[in-house]
Amino acid sequence: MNSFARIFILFVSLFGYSYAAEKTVDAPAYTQNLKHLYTSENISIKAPIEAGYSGVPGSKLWRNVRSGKSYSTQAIGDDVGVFINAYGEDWRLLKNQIEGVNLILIPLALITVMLIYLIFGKFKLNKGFSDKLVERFKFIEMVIHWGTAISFIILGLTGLVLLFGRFFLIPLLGKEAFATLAEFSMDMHDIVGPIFSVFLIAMIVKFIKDNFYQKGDINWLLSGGGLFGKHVDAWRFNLGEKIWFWIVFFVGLFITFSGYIMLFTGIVSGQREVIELMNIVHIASATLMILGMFGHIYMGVALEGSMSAMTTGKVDENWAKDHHSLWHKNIKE
Amino acid sequence: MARMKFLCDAERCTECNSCVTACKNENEVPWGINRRRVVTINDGMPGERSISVACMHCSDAPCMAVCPVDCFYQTDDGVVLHDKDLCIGCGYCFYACPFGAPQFPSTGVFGSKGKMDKCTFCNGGPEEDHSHAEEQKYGSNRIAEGKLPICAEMCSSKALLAGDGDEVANIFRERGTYRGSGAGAWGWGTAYNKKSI
Repeated sequence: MNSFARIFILFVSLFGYSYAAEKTVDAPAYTQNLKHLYTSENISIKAPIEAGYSGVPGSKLWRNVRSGKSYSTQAIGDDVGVFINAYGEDWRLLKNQIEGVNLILIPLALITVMLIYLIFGKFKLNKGFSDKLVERFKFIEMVIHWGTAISFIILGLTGLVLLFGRFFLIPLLGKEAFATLAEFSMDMHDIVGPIFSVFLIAMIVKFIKDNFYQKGDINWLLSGGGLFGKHVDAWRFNLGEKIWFWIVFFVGLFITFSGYIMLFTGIVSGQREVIELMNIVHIASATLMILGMFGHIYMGVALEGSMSAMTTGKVDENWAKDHHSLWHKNIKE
Repeated sequence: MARMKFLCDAERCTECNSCVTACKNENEVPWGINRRRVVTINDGMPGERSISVACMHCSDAPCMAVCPVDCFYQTDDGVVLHDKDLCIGCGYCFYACPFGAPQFPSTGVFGSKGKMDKCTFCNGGPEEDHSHAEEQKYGSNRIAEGKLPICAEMCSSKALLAGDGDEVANIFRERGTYRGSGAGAWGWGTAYNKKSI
């Protein structure tokens, strides 16, 4: 083969190859795609190119960082893909506010109740004690009441230790001793919480039928619950007690619900906001419950003859006539 | 006095995760604890950016403010550290922290958590420097040796910077001024066939 033929074959094959390559790769279309990719609508890189300076994603990137959404990461764990915990600071500030309100309300209520007791003393029965006793609560009802009461007091105290211990107990006990107390309080709170919820539900079931509105309850409210010495009729529970029951019902369910959510979720991906919210609900409703408890204890202590209803289950007949005349009439028949 | 700071240059971070690995190795961080993590936005898309996140050692740290047992303290260098002997594992710091830095080992019964663990800026804890107890609880103490945190020291692209806030800020500013960034950076036009302006 002469040299001319060799060169001819070389040219033909090169031309063929480049033609084939262009057909298969379709280079201009590929470049076009790439260009489209880099300037398409949703890509953060577009704006800075248009602006003329830098491909820094800028504000859009940092908005995404701040958004609290979860992005891809190699790390395994709870909420690892989230850059910024979007509501953490809101939660902390709200919690601080509620704590501040707590700090005023709880001592204020305690002092008020004690002052009222010191000034007015015990409310005596109109005709003194008779010898006859009437059964007011069954044994099981007393067990449920004291179960709820004791577990609630434990929960309240341990909760307050965790909430305010840093400000009041660390200066007294020092950090090490308080940390031990706080750990004990937290564990107690976690263990006693479910026990409280069982008693709470038992109490709701047991007492709910006597706590609906009954005829004449409004008169009790209008005459101030017999606070001004006038006798008022009432059924087994007067309207004040009924209101307290419904506070326990709703607030108690809020406390248990939020408590269970916090107890069983711990830290789980995407649950951080839920727990922050539940924590606020828990603290706020627990405060209401503690305030109600002061009033409830005051009533038991200040009204002569009341306490025996929950210690022995029996009350004096004159007490029944004074405070719950309609109920007394009912059980006599 | 220096004010210690981290800075992650999102333009440089390549999501190689060496900072994470270096941290785990240096501090013997147990499984499931992420003292440092790399998060990627727009993963696999144009405009992808990665940022390495850890405790940012805030000046007015929310964890310090919210802790019920007051176990946090800030060193003279501005590093936020905590005392594991005091920590009760309530998790409040995790709920308050903007960066998700506090980590909790083993979740036991119900939602109970162990003692909190977080980035120490390679500065150990309240125990005596380089003591066995400190190493067991908090890992290494490079600051006491006059060294900076291992994550930043290891960073191959120098995306993650750690050290005195002023120094870090100067380095970052210099990068922006002389090198430019994004389309303004040297080499951008060659790489992407676009003229930089």
